[in-house]
Amino acid sequence: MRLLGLAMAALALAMSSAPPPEEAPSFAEGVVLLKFRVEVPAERQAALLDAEMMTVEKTLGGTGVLKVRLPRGMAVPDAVRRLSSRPEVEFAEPDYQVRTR
Amino acid sequence: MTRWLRIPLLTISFLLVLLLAAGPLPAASREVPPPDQVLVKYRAGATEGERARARGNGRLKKRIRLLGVECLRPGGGETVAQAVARLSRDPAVEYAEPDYRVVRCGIPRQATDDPRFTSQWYLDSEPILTTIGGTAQYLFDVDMDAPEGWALLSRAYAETTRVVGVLDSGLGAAGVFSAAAGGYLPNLEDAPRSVLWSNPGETANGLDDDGNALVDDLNGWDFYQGDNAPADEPDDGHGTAVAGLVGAATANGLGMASPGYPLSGGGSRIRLLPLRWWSSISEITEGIAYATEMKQGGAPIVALNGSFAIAPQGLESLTLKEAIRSAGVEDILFVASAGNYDGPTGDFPQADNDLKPLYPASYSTTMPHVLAVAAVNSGAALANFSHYGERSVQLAGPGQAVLSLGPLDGQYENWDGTSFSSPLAAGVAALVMGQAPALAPSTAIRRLTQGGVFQKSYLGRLKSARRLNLAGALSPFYPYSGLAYLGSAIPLRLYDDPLSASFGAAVTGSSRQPEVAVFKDTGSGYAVSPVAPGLATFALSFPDSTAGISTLKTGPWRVTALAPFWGRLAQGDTITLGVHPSCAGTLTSDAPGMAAVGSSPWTLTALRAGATAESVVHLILTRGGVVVEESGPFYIAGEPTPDGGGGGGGGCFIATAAFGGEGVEEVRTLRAFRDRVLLASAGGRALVGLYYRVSPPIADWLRGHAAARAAVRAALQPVVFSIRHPLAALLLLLSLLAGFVLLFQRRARTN
Repeated sequence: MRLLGLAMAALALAMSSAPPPEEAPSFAEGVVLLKFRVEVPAERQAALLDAEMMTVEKTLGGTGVLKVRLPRGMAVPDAVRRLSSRPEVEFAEPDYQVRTR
Repeated sequence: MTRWLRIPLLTISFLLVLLLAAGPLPAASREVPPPDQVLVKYRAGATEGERARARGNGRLKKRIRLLGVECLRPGGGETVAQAVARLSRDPAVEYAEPDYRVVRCGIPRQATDDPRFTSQWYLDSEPILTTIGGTAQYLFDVDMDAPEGWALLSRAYAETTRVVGVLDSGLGAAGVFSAAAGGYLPNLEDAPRSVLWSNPGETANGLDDDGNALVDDLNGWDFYQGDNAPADEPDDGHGTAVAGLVGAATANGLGMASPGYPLSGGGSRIRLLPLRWWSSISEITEGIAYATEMKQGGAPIVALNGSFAIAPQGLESLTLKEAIRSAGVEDILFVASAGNYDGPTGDFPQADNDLKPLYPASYSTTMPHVLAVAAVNSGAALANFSHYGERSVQLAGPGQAVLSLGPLDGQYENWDGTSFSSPLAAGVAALVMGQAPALAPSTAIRRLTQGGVFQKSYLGRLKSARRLNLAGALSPFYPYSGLAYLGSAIPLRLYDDPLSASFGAAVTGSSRQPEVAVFKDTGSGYAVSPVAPGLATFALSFPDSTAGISTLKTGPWRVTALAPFWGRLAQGDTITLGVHPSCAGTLTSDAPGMAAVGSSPWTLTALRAGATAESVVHLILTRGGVVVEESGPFYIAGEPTPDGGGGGGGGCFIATAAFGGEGVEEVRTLRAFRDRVLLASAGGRALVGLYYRVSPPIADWLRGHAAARAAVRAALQPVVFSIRHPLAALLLLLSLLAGFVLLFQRRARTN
């Protein structure tokens, strides 16, 4: 048992260490881009966003993609994960930053 | 042939070329002034005293060291003809000839009076003398042949105006841009012939007249600030420069020129629609959607220029993809910069987009309306910063030291980047698409690529191995230039699109280098028929043309005796080479340590790569001590190249399907692990290759089964955890093992 305890302590220490550096795309905070599946009715879309306390900021032209404002404190990756797991959602992604030249 | 014979013969050939060139010149071409200088070649061993005596009163202007030739301006009342006669009699002189004024192959050219035009090497510049096998023999243009293309436009083609949407940082600094004044933009040079497109459905009245939810969108829109003045920042200027290269007012006596030569009655052939964004996908998407919807409403928008890339390389936005796809449905061509290399730790670290895609440029492989454009410099070489891709980048255009507008009135700067090659392609595409409203973007792309100028150094780097050429894109014949193996003719075909309709079917061709290739009428068509290795250009004549164009240029055609002329080999590979019997001699490799050549049969064996992962080898074919040709590039990879589908940056199919999108953090983690760890080793690459072969159908099935997706997500979570926290995962595994061992021991004791 002592061995197991030591291993758990080491595990806790390892988890607290920083993850390895990773390519980090930058994106706009507080918003995500979301597209519902075409068969999802508008009321269902609104209800889902209400439940998540998200609001539609704008529709991106005729693409059907919504720019959605997140509730205060909700991180973009969390929002993307939550929305992407919903069967009504075709895709959700951060509003990535883009570079010229 | 001895050296003594070769030089006079070359001179005679050169004179013949000039005589041929001078023949079919139309009345509209410029007057060619008579020569006022003399070229003198002294005999080997002529002393400086003998040379000084021969010069007489003539003034030495320059020396061409390569050839041992001096250029003299006659003095003391001596004419050029008298000086040539006197020098030709001089025992120290091998030959003397007038410094003839060179006319560009007798091809019609349209003049322009823009004062900055002389600094725009990429539109028009003097030909460069190049050498093959150590012999100077060919004058080639690095420019886009803009005046030759404009001549076609003004004589042969329809007078139409087309709109190009410029997705960028805006147009002209604030205060300079004034939408309310009808698109007057001083640094776009010419208010009466404004190059801005005006939305006919909108008036400046504070109302949304055309019902598109934007108020007073007269000349584009700022999707960052949400207003109708898409102005550039004074310290940025990227968008202004890009817009200038698409369609700055031309032939107006002001500033610079662009592909957009004006209509005969005034007014620009290319109108600009500035769609300003500042930093994010959503703004760009709105711009694309705006142009798409305006086109649905009847606006003559033919192309969008996207001089941007999503960072880091490999990241894809489904929103942007959706928007670009929707523009394609409306037949809008999307021109994208191939990308700029910014070092191994930068955002765009893999210059080969085939190995790691860069979006949106890499949509060129999946969407027929997307054109990816690399950059070349003023020597026609790929710019050292330019991304490329044999499968994913179709074309290159001028993109280094390219003069264009600055954001302030009257400001001009030289710009570097693939950002500046793509707008030139967009401008040319707009001219092509302006000829026939129904011309699909894919047809325009075909015209731009087939109409480009072939260069062997682009082989393996660009899909077309060609660079942008305005005259070539508008030429009724294709291909405009290319690679011809000795012994097989290359057919020259008339496009079957409406642009070619005004040119007569009867064509005659004269080769500028008949010793290299000749023009053939095969009875059923026309062909370039190779004679000997080298470079050749042709003048095509249209005796029954209704287009008013009598002569067109085509070429250069590189004739080669070696097949394949270039290729891609992995370490250890051996390929068999065909050498045309008329040229069989000695074949050597310019890097014998990396690639060895064998004879009977001719072979090339890749021994190893050089200092870089992929090294370049050329083969030199000599006969009787004379270089017949230099072939290549042959790319040698140090290890077998990974399966194309397994290249970095693409989608992780199963994970993407299970987690619902590429933007999900877990997917990014898995993808980064693949790119950094798996693709770094041969075993890992093989594993990735296998995964990419088997995973797409599994991913397709998963998309339709929610429960299975949840199960895969749960199964992948420990993998993701292990990648993020490798030490913790190892300790957890050890702990579990230790737990099992303890449990097993206790049970064993109990028993």
